[in-house]
Amino acid sequence: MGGKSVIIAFLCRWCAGAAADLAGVSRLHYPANVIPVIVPCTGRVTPRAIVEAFLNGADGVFVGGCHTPSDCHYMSGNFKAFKRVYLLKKLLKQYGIESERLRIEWISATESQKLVRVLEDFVKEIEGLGKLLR
Amino acid sequence: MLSKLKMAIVYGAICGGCDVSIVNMGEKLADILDKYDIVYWSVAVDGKLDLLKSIEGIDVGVFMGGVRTSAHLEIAKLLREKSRLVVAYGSCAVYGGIPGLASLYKPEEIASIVKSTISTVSREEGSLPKELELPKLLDICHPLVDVLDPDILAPGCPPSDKICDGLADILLKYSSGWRPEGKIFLGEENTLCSNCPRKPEDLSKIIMPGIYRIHEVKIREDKCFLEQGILCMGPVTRIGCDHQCIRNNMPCIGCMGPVSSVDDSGLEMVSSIASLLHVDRERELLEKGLAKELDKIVDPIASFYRYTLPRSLLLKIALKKRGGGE
Repeated sequence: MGGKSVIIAFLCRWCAGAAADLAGVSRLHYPANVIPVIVPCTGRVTPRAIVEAFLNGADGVFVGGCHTPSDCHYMSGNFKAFKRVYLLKKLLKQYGIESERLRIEWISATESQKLVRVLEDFVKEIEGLGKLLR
Repeated sequence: MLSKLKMAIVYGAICGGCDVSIVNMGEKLADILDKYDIVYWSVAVDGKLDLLKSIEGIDVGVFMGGVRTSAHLEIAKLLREKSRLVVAYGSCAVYGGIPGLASLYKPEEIASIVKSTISTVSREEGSLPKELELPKLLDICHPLVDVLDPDILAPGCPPSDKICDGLADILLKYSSGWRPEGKIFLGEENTLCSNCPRKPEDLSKIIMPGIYRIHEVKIREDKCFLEQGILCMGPVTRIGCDHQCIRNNMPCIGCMGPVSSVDDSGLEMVSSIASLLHVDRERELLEKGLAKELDKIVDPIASFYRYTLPRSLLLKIALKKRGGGE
């Protein structure tokens, strides 16, 4: 299975997701390998969902949430997401899977340019690593 | 009934703890022996593979341990062929268990570690007799459920008195003509926390005040382990052990495995740790402080997957990446 790498981006509805909307309205381009999944809050993205994405062919998973400490619409969802992703990255490393394939970033609703920049950078990194499952 | 039923107890990768727990059944074992003849059990009745091959019509076959080598695979398949009822006994047979932790390494790596660390025996290539052929290591240590379909699953490391009682009752009922409908998974479909004797102060809000190992803090015997900052697998582990460890002031390490609706308890545990750890101090500690705290979990796999590694989803990915998966 060759071809382009696939990236699943879990974006929260209030910040990173809104930034993706803004990027669309302002006609900013971001790589087409990224498949955005808008969720109510990154705090609700379970490790299971991330692993499931990898199992189903994603080469990288991106989690975009609100800035810490106080931007989260639900008070502390971003901290929960951070802890989940951090632990999961530790697990990935132990299994011998590149932990760089999972990234979490804070992006506010107005930072559409940051979103584009970060995603471009992430796609480049993932393409450097190659496909996860051959 | 004129003749007794036949029971065979067969090994995979095993430490011997399961045998002890069977002997430990006490009077119940005597009741079972009234109804059953143990025709094969390496620890009590001497037996080689040829003996098992020669026995026909086994009623109950008990398999202990994981399926690590080609020899285990052969004997497991033979047992399924000959037995009406197969019992996966112990966590190794149900989930892969402790030997399953070695699934992180390739078989060649394991072999080379073993060869290079044993210093008391000369391991030169030529020292093994030519006619002796060792069984091959499989890609991982498979739980029995990977290679055949058992009828009864009895998890635990080793299965607790409660699980053994349940199994004994089933065996006695079976001997009097009763037949099970579908698969039986011993233990309750609920988590350890649901009736834990150590009640947290506020059920709706448990806060982990950091992460500590058991020797680092003085553990209060009446308080929830998680509330004292000690990793306890209770939230994701099925009941069936009567809280043996918890009652003896030791946290749960998850030997009973998850309830049947959950297939990867480690990921669920990661999720719950994230929801509990320092929830009151997140804004003060920020990412850096939280990361430092999480780094105290030195070996996440052994903490979250001690008994269930071969069944973890991440291992599936790692195996495919390795190029050795199914």
